[in-house]
Amino acid sequence: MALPAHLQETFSSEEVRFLVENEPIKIFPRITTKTMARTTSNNTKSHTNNDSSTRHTLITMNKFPLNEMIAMKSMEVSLWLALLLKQQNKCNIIIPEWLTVNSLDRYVKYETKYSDRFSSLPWNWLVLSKILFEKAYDDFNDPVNELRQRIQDLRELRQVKVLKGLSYLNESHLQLDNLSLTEINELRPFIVGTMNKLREVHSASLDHTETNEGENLNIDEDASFGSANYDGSRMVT
Amino acid sequence: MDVNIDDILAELDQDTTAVDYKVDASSSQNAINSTNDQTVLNSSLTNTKIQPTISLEKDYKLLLRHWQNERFSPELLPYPHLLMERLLRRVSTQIESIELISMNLIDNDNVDTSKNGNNLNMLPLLVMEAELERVKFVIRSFIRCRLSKIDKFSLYLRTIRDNEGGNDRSINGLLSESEVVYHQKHFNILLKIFNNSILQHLPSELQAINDTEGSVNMIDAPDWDKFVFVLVTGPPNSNFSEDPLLIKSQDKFYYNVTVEELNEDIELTVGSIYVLRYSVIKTLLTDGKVQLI
Amino acid sequence: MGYYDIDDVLTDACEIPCKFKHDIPGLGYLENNPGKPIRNNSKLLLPLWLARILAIVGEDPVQEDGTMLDDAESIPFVELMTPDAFSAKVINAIKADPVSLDVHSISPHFFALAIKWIALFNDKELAAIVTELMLQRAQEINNHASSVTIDVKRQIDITGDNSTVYSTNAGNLGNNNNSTFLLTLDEFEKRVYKQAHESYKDAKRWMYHK
Repeated sequence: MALPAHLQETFSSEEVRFLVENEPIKIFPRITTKTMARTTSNNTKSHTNNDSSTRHTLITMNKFPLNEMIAMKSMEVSLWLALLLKQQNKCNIIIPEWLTVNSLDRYVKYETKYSDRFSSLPWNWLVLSKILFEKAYDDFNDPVNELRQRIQDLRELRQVKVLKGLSYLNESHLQLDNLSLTEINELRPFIVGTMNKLREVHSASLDHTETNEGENLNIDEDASFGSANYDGSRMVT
Repeated sequence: MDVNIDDILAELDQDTTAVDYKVDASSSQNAINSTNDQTVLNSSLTNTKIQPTISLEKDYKLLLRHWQNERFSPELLPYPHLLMERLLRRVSTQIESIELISMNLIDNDNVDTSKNGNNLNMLPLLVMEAELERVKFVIRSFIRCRLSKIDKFSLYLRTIRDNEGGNDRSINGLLSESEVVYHQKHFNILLKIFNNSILQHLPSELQAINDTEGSVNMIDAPDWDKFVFVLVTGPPNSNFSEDPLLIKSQDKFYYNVTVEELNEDIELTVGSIYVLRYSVIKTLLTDGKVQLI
Repeated sequence: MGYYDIDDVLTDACEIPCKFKHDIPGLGYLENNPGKPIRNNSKLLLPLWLARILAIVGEDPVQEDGTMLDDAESIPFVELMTPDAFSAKVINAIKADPVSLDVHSISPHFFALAIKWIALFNDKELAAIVTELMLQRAQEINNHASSVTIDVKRQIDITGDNSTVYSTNAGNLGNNNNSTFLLTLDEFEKRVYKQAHESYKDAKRWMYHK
């Protein structure tokens, strides 16, 4: 198989992490490269060694952030790059505002207060907090274990709600605002599997009203085939 | 344009082989000019393709979006020809520049080790390599996903093609050039094994593999009504006022969609997440107004 | 779903009680009377794929070539009778306690069969009952699928190796003291359980993985 079965129509946790790593985050560089870059570009002829540095370009970013760094002046880079710089001791990561004891307490409060909705945590809150706890624990102002505890609390509070919400599965639709990618991803097979079957039951009970008995008996294998052909021809146009 | 890029690369190639200081200095200027040329080239590339602005960042985001949509959609989505053309071009250019730079680094280390220590010299290269690997990963995963769907819907895709009067136009829109070849070859192999293992032993009237008359259609089509998770993003250019389908009510924007089978209307609010039948949001997806997650 | 769907094929092989509405010469072998005709009103278990056709195609003076021109007067060869899976006894059991019902023992393809049956008779009432049954049991399936706490630690040590992960999964199935419920799942429910369980496990593994 070109794509392993367990990756079809869903993402692995590692792939979710990959997506999150593409998101921007703020950092404090610990080195200055910007002036260097400027002088080199001004005096190109006198320097012989900078042809390599000027040729550094990236293919997913318009600028090369490594040439833009000014020590202790905050800048925004992709998380994966921030992690790489952090690992090289070239930056500190600025912990996002929501990831503080104060702010998380507010989220916990919200989650406890409303039993039927989710607080507007960032869509990557679980993954991002985990990554930062591991890779940037020394950049936190608040004690990491207290933060970790609150993240765990939030996770459990939300799981209870999810569980409750699952009794409303139906053959039409669900609205799941503010659910994060990790939460969606882990729920996906259950929700999709069950709702698809509910849909099949429902559409089996409907078919009869639209077709006469003979035809109906003929296509009952899979109610979706009728519409499949219809949509299929539409797809061509 | 392609030739130009190749020319630039050829120039760069010469740079690194240059030993003489004077030659090196002038060629380093050359290198700067050529990097500028490259960016200009990139933007002119899109100009010819009627997109006003091109941005490396946007292209990468678009790739991520295509990747996610493809992974979650029950059908094979149209191949983003222009986007992939640009991305693949950049990847191969980048591979060559990385090679050149690392060769250069080795040279420089031999000539001049007083500069700043190796670490800072190596870091930009490390970043370039890390980025390249990430892009390659997404492209690979994207293509793998498409190939698995081409396998799965081999017959179905063939029917689309045949319905188009045998010309490959529509399927060309759906598939990339190499995917068309892959599909054709895969189909032939499949047919061959079916034939050799069983079909040739059956009476000819039972040999069909694409019978649609019987009680069960032999051609597996995508499950159009499959439930998918959808994030409503609004129009791709974020120009809410210019989207005729977008309805404004008080403080929110929404699309109205209908589940035909249930005769039910659903409001899809921008920024919200829904679990819905794929058929219901298919058009919105094609128009980039929703995203599968 | 589709032509090569093995569960669909197996569901079509489920036996349905049928009552013959005609005397048919030579068909006696179906009830161990070779050479004899089958009598009007005799009851037989036939696989769904056959029963379905015989219930549509009727005694037609010309020939039955599958064109299914149902004259109002023509009487089908057989009349379908409610299979045990949807008998009053089972329906009552569903209504009483959907979660403790042993669906698997009723039919390993209970839900797939139900969908076919509902489609045959436009049976909205059965659809409502089956929907409720599925929903109630889905909650329970999800509870089981998401309870991976016990095994997580053990799996962390051996992640990356798919075969070992699967073996602990099997162990989980057996060790869990609620496993009796899992044994009552029909094929569709098993698949949902398995996929959901894998998904929860993967998320959990990643969350606790250093």
